[in-house]
Amino acid sequence: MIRFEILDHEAATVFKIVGTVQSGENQAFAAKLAELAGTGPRRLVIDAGGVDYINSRAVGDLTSFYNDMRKAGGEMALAGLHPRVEKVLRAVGLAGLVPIFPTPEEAELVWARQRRRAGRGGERKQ
Amino acid sequence: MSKGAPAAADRHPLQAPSWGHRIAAMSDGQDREAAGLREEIARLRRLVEELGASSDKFLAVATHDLRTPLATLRLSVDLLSQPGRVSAHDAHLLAAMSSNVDAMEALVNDVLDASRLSHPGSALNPEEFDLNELVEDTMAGFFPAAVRRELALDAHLSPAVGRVLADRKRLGQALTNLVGNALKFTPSGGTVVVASDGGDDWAEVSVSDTGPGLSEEDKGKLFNSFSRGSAEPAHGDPCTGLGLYITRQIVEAHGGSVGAVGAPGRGSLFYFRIPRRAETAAPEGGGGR
Repeated sequence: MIRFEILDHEAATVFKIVGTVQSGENQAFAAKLAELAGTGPRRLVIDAGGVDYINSRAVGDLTSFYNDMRKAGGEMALAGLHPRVEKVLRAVGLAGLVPIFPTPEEAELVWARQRRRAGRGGERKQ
Repeated sequence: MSKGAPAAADRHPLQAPSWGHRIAAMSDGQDREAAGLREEIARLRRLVEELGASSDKFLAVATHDLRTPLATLRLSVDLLSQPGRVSAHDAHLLAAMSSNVDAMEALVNDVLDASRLSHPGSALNPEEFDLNELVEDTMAGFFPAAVRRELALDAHLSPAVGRVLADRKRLGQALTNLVGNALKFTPSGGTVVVASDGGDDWAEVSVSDTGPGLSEEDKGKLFNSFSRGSAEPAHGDPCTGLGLYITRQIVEAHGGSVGAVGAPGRGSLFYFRIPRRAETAAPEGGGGR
């Protein structure tokens, strides 16, 4: 049985997935992605630390979701990937486009730093 | 010579030979006949070996000679496929050329492999490895096609499959053929499931799909060379009719077996089972069953 959790943190929204994403769970996964897209997060970390396999249909849904998010000016990161999951995301090229972090906290930290730097740059301009 | 059995020379030409003579004569005749047959069999065996060797040589030369112009064609097509090199209309023609070059390359490689594998004593290079890892690597290679074709590629891998002593490259080729076949024949929206299982002295991998299924006639011939089932590929892929034959050759070379189950309209399942430690048996014969 697959479980999802959406956590709104200061630096990003964290989408936590636990379980195996394959036939039988694809519909629930796609519905959750649609729900997320509706909220329009600016920065999203997909915490896949609890995912041991993701099938091609879910990879296709994730790729479409990422493309839409980029078009809307958002950013996405992947965290805690199981080697098996990373292997298939690399095979389709998604792992080369989306930054990968060991943990969601590290992704949030990097984005928080970027935001601070951008803020300082803005102050200097003024 | 026995007293009651006159020699043939002492006998009148019209006199019938005795039973003893008849049996002796028959026995001599049979011996000569048997010797003649043995000689004929040996001669035919030599002839078959020579034909096999010259057929192998012919295939090696033909496929090598085909590979060289194909490599040039592939390079030209790849160069022309770079962005901005041809018009949108010509890009369609180029795509058609490219897929035909792919098909020709696949055919040449399959013919070469089938020829190599059918050779008695074709060597395996066994090494110890995790079979599930090989399954995962093979499946990953098919993800781009599965995503493009909107197919669900599922994995049900049992840890019981464990490590095997086998030819990793060849077994990967057998797996590629099975997974590739399932992706070829399963229409968009369908599902392909790769599963593994194992026991003390065996390991098994199966690939099932929601494609058109198999008729009884299909099941009987699918693993033969240049043989195809009644279904057409769902996405227009080329079929050489050698993939399953090569798979059978590889698995049998490991001392294992292949099989297929399914019914028309109800999908199909292909599997192979190998000994945990390959016996490296030579595959049977050169041709299909």
